[in-house]
Amino acid sequence: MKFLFVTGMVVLLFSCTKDSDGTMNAASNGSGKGGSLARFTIVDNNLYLVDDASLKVFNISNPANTVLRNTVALRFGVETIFPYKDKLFIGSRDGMYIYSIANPESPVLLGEARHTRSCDPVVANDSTAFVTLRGNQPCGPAEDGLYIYSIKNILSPTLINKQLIPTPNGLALQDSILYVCQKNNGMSIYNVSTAAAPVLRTRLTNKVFEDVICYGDLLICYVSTGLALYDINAAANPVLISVVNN
Amino acid sequence: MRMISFFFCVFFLASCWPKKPYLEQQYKKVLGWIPVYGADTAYKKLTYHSSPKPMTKAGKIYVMGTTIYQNDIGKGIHVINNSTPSSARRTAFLELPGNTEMAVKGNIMYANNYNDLVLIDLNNATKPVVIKRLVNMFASYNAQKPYAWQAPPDSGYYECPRFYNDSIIVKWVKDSVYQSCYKF
Repeated sequence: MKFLFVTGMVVLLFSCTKDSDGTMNAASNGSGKGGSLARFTIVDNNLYLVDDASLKVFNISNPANTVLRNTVALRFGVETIFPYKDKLFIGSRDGMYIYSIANPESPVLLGEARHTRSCDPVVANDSTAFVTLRGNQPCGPAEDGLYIYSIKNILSPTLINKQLIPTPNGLALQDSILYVCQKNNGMSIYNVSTAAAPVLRTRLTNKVFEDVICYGDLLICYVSTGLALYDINAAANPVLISVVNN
Repeated sequence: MRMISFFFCVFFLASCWPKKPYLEQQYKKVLGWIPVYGADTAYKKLTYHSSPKPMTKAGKIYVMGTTIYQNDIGKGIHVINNSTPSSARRTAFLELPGNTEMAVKGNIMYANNYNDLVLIDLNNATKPVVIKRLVNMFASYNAQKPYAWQAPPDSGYYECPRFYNDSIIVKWVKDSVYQSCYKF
């Protein structure tokens, strides 16, 4: 009985810390949060790394004894990895690949969307994957744009919309707002509550935006000179808080 | 008739181009980049700087609580104190040659030092140390899209890199090179 009570208390306490720490929305497992251009991601007790042609799984439950547990061969040209729940979305130069990590050390390919050669980070939620394709050299011949795939049938993602915008790069999704970096062309902010019909809400044009992380009410931007921080209490209208330059 | 003979001439000339010896193209030298190799023991290491360093070439970002980390491409990781976003500032620099990637869980940072995966214990904020190194985890080389440490800092022709067991590319210098590899 005493044991049950203690367990109950621990569970209660744990739920408190989780709820009160709103900034850790996508990273409640004690890890932080990376951008969409990352090649590393941590999910629970595993570190996933993508190099140019493989997905590597490391067990990090005891960091000092970290071991490589699995290497999954991929096609050449892999650039990014994005975790969502029990899935990994991998951006490569010829497509987006979705792996299940229901069995964390044995990722299994579920679905893929092949596309024209390009550079392509990806973010996703339960029903939709958002991919940016940048088709200039050295990426490939694809048309620059934001490509939106329905993943309701995870085994065969289908293109439901594309927005042809110049030089798209990193991107981030928070609730129904999508932030798309466009290098010299600034940043486009869409409402994607209807994923098949995104609505452009705002454009930021005064910086060279490369990648972005939503962190609670803070938008953390990797810009050419360093960092720019925006308040996104009004999600579609970021307000500049500060820049961390040279 | 003149038109036809003109086209004929052009056609004739054009047919010469592919016949130009392959080697002759290869051995034409242009201004480009040459890799400088160094013993990897001198570069596969972490050096902690407790004062901020200027950004050379901004890279990827990672956030953990009130700390933001930002890569300086090929050089290391800036530590940014973000406890008050309106006055966020760099406070320290983890010098880690060849670095482009990082992630953090608990007090451990996972980062690359060239092609090695290193685990850095951040517990002692004034003296982060590498507690584990897994060598050669970025094994491949893709000439179309090399990793940052496999290509020169700017666009142009460069001498294609070679890979050795005990040395790595530590910098690039401008020189006349054969038109072998090209960075866009």
